Amino acid sequence: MSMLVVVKYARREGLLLSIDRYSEEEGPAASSRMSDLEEVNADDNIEIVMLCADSEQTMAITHGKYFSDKAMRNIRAQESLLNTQLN
Amino acid sequence: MLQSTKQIDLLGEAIRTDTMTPADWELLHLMRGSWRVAFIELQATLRQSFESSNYKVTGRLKNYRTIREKLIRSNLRLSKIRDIIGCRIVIPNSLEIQDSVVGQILALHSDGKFRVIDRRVLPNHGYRAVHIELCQGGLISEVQVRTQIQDLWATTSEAFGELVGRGFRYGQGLQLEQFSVHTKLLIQQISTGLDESSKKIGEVGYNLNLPALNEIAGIERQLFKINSLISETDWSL
Repeated sequence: MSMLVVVKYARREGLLLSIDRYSEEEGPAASSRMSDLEEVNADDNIEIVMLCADSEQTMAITHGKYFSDKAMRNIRAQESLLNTQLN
Repeated sequence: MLQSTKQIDLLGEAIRTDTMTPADWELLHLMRGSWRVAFIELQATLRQSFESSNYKVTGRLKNYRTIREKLIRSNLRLSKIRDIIGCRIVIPNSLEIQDSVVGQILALHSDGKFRVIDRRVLPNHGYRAVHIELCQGGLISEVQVRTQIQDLWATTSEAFGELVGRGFRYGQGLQLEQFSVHTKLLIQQISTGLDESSKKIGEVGYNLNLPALNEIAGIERQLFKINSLISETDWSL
């Protein structure tokens, strides 16, 4: 099975602003998310990309710029905060 | 695909001129649905083919902004853009393995049309890889086969392009107006380093003897250093 992600990435800053993860069956929802993000985005510095692989680890190997420690800094902080709130 | 070539190319004009109507966005969304199905399928086929070798495969869809940049840069029509659906495979540093992977991909698509673009022989402003353009079921897709060192060069160059203007990757020169004299010097050094490392990558041959492996390790060190400079310098943007 494959997984899909839709990432919103700030090019010059090299920072991931959001990441949404979907299973292969949720593909239409991934497309809708990408369309929604693109339609309201007027900033050329913002890149919205859909990737597909067997895992996020694979994506990190082939498309490392979206998944480097620096790029993921904000996302990890948000996820860590969310986990803390849930626990 | 349900859309006619004329409809697709009219959408391409709306994208190129950034004059999208709600109906254009709806059409782009519909087309993205077809592209998504095709890129999942291509990625899965390639992944299964290279599973035993553990080569990593990721598919990606070109987005509105990058489609627009390509339409402006190339003067192509939307129906003729070949890399809206793309897959990337990163393999070990061996030209022999690269040839073999390309051969296997072509064998998988022997019933369709294809074109091999060998950017090891004809690098694109320093960029080296092998690209395979596949045409199946009316959809054109592109598979990028990169060795690890070619991929490291490409991602380093891309990160640099984000600072000095993405046109740098396509030979349009550097946009340096907003930088200080010191930063301009640093940028020139990085640009020279990227040129040098691309040439060195091109000089690594098929025979991976000890000197060749040492050469690759040296290029890696140079590119890691450039990457550090790019990510750790205060560019004051």
